[in-house]
Parts: sequence; structure tokens; C-alpha cells
Amino acid sequence: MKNIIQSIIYGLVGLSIFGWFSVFITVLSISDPGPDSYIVGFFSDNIMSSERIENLGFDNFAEISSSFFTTLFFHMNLTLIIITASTTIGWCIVSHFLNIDAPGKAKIYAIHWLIVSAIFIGLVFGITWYFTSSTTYPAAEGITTSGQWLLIFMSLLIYVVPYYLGVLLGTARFARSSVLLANKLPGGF
Amino acid sequence: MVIRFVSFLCCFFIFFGISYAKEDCNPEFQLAKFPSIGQVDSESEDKPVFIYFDKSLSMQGYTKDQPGVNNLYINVIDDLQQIAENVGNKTFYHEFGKSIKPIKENKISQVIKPIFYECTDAASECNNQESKIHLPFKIAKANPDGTYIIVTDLFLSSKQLVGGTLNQLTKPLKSILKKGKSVGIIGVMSSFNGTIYDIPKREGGTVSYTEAQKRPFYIIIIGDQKEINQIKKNLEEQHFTDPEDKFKFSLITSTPILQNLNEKKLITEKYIKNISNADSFRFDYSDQGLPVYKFETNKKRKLNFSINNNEIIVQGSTGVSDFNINEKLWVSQETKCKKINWKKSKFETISQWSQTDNKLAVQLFKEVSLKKLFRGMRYFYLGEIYAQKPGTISEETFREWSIRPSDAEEFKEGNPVEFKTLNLEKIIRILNSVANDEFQPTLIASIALDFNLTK
Repeated sequence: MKNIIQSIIYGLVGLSIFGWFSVFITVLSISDPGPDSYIVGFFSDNIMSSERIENLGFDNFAEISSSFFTTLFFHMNLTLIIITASTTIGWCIVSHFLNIDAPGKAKIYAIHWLIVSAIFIGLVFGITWYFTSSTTYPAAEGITTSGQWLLIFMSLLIYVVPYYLGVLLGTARFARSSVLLANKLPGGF
Repeated sequence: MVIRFVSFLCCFFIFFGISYAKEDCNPEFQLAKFPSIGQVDSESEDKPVFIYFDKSLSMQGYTKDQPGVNNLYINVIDDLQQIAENVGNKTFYHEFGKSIKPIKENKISQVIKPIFYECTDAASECNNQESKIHLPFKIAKANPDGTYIIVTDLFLSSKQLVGGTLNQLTKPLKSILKKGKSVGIIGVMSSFNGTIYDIPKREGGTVSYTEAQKRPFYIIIIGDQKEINQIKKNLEEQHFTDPEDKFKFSLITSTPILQNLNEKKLITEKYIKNISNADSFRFDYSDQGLPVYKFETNKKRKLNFSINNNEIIVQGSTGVSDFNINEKLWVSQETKCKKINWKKSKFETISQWSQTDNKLAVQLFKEVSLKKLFRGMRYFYLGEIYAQKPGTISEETFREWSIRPSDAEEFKEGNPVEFKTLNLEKIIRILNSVANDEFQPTLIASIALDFNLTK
């Protein structure tokens, strides 16, 4: 039990190395970043269709950014944070229950880890896709196709890297060979 | 206690009823004024009617019966005099050919007899194949209060339709139309038993033809649309009841638009197909007389607004060949009236129109599809439909009875029983072009859509 709790803590530490950024943008979203913020400018330049927005009579994306960030972007990031944290912690716990009773057997569980990681990547992809093209969120309509792909790429980057670092540090010591490069960690860690 | 409760309920519902009724929060815009369409009907008590009979020799054939063929000329002209007396309080009769002369009262009845068209002057003076049709137009220009009826075969040579001679016709016509008057042309196919003169030959010169058994004559009426229609209606009811009787009607007017549909609040919810099925649908007229369709819709809805041609186009007129829709669209992120914040969109062409024989169909949001708009927002659309350019319906109506000078000789050589009118289509085209010059783009209808775009 002590080892599991230790794994969870290591996992959370791994998550938080880069994961703070996703928490930061989620908090920023719910508090409405405001028209002059950097993030609104970035979205206006790279994600949203300025032409469509301006044709409707708005000066730019900043004018309607509030509903985009406080609903769509907040909900999407919150969902992704929950999924990422659950998958990371889940793997850290499950790794303690893997039946590794012989040397070299841990490597077999690399397949399991790869499957879990692939499912996780698929979930991140699917969740971002759903939010950016769903009819539930009117704000999604201003997103361009290239903007949608950029958002998917960014989501993968922001959530897969913390997940990997989380499982890298949080996987049970005897199962580290199942996680890419985890066996390179110092033995006492 | 019960009474108090009922009173409370009444007050509650009245309050909310008023709140709901005040949900109108349209953006600010200047609605185009309804134009004063229609006829300048002079209500003068002293309204003379002038009737002009073409005395050219070619007209004589109408007065002689052709066995087995209905002679409408005699019947119509006989009755026309009676109809004219009803339209105005005093009727003046004239004959025209080389010049205009009044017809003595005792000779009026002779216009349906061959003797009236015989030339009794010296041969050199008897050039009564020449028809100075522009003269009645000139008189109509000078005295626009009267109604002018011209009875003619409208057989005009090409030389009468060019240069200065043409100007003599178009100039007064322009002035007449400017004063809000119109020109009605009723063509009647009648029996004919005589000679048609001045048929142009291909190599030059003219030839005559005596074999025709039928030939159209024309009654040209210059006056108010109301009077023209009255005369046409009377003739139609009394003489053109037999399906075999061929008659055509065309109205040359600078105002082929019948009315503005907003003025009498003629637009109803049915003008947009299936719109009443939309969620939260309401249809009201604003204080400015603007019909407003309010509803909630998804992006799949088709918004087709259509108007029957007979509601907007004067029957028998050239019609309208081009329409223009002045469109504006406002968008608000907030849908509730309290927080509404309209932004005017940059879209200029939002809808597309098409016209069939029966109706004008406007496909709203065809150019800028609803798919291009954002859900969750409120939209206010204002469309003002203008008649932009007159049509050519009347030319098409008379095309069948028209013959071009270059084809006249060949046509004659075919020994036709039913003879056509020289340059008729060209004459109508000339008259129409004068009317078109005077045409002003006219507002037909204005509509507004106030809708929320949902999932």
C-alpha cells in the first residue's frame, strides 16, 4: 500500500512538471482571459476564422472570445485534465498488480502500456475533436480546419507529455521495463 | 380571497403579456419609404375623350364583311363610341391621315362604313396611306387631362420609325408617361375585305395585297390606367367572349408595378413556405408597417419567400425583368432583449431571386447560407425588394402578329389569309423603351426576419 501511495505521488509529480500549464489555461479560461490577453490574440491569429467573424459584423475574435473560453475551452480542458490524471494515476496503481514473477517478464507488459497509451492518445484526440466540432458549442463554429488540427496537436502535446512523465515516474519499480525509458531511472528512485 | 387571487393572477398575466409584447428589440435602421405607385387619376369633372380614326385607305377593308368571318371592327367601333361616352363627359371625334380633322356629328356613324375611308380630294391630296399617328400623341401631350383613343391598323413603314419622324412620336409619349399616364394597346383580329397598301418590297418600293380575309386593327388608349382598364374590360366582356376571337392587350407604362405590398399589409406568414412550423414562430407588423417573422431555427431550414406576379405587376404591362434586393443583417451574441447588442454584418448579397411566369421567388439566405452563421446568436434580417428594370412581356405578346419589312414580300407571296402588321413588334419595342427610360426602381416589398439560430 505504501508503494502504491508512493507511486501515486511520483505520478502526480511527473504530471505536474508540465501539467501545471494545462491547469493554468483551464483556470484562465473560466476566468475569461479578456480581449487584450495573449491567448485571445493567439487564438484570433491561428485558430479562428477572422473573415467569418468580421463578416458577421464583429471587429475581431476578441469581441466574442468570452463565450469561447468560458464554455468550450474550459469544458474541453477540464475534461482532458480529468482523463489525463485518471489514466496516469490508474496506470501507476495498476502497475503494482502486474504479474511479474520472472526476470524479463516486465517487458511483456510494455504491450499493455502501449495499448493504454494509444487509448489515451485516442481519447485526447477524440475529446478535442468533439469539442471543436460539436454543435453543442456555438463558439466552435469560428474555428478553421487548420485551427482545429492545431488545437488537436496542442492538446496532444499538453496532455500526452505530462501523462508520459507521470507514468514514467509513477510506474511500480518492478514494472518499469514496461514503460519506455523508465528502466533508465536511478535504481534508488 | 378567491377574488383577490383571481385579480392577482390577472395582473400577473397582464404584466407578463406586456413584457412579452415588448420583446421587440429591433436594430436601428431607416426603412425605405413606400413609393406612391400607380395612377395619377385626375378627378377633374370635365374630362373629355378624344377619339381618332385612322382614315388611311388600308382601313377600308375592315368595314366590308368577309363571308364566314366575324367582323369585330364594326361591332367594336360601334360600341367604342358608347364606352367613350361613359369614360368622359364629352367626346370629340377626329380623323387622321395626312392631317387631323374633326368629324362632323352627322358623319360619326360613317366610320364603320366604307364611304368614310374613300378619298374625295384630288389624287395628289389623296395620299391617305400616310398615317400621322404621332399627331394624336402630340395633342395628348398638350392636354393630358383627356383620354385619347386612336383606332388604327398601325401599319407603319420603317421610315416612320427612324430619325425625326420617330422623335415626333417618342417625344410626346415621354411627356405623357412622365405625367403618370399610360398607353394601352388593344389588338383585335377582325375580318378584312380590302386592299392592304404599302407592303415593302425587298428591292425597294411597295406593293399592295387584296387576298387577306383577316387582319388585326388596334385601339390605342392614352390616359389613366384605370380608364384604360375600364375600356379594355368593357370591350372584353362585350365582344371577346368567343374563344375564337383573337385579341391582345398591352400596357405601355412607366409604372408597371401595381402596388407596394407593405402599404396595405398584404404580406402574410404564408409568403414564406412552412415558416409557421418553426419553433417559437410569431408574425407581426411593426409600427412602420414592416412584416417581421420571428422564429427559432436550425441551419437546415430553407427560407423561400414568394410573391405572385399578379400582386405586383400591372396586368398587360411589360412586367419586370430585373429585381434588386437591398439586404441587411444584424447579429447579436445576446439573444435576450435586455442585453441585445446588434452588430451590422458585412454581408451585402444574402439572398437570390428568380422569376417564373407566375411568381417571384426569393431564396433567403441562399448566397450567405445559414451554415455560415454562428449558432447561439440572434439575427435580424431586413430585405427590401425593388423592381429594377422593366420587362419585355408586351413585345412577346404581339410578336405573333408582327412582320418585319424584310419578310413582308415573302409573306405576301404566300397568299396569307390572316395578314400581319408591319413593324408591330418594333413599334411596341420603341414605345416600351420610352417607358423604360421613365421607369424608376420601385420598392415592392420589405420584410424582416428576427431569428435565433439553434442547434
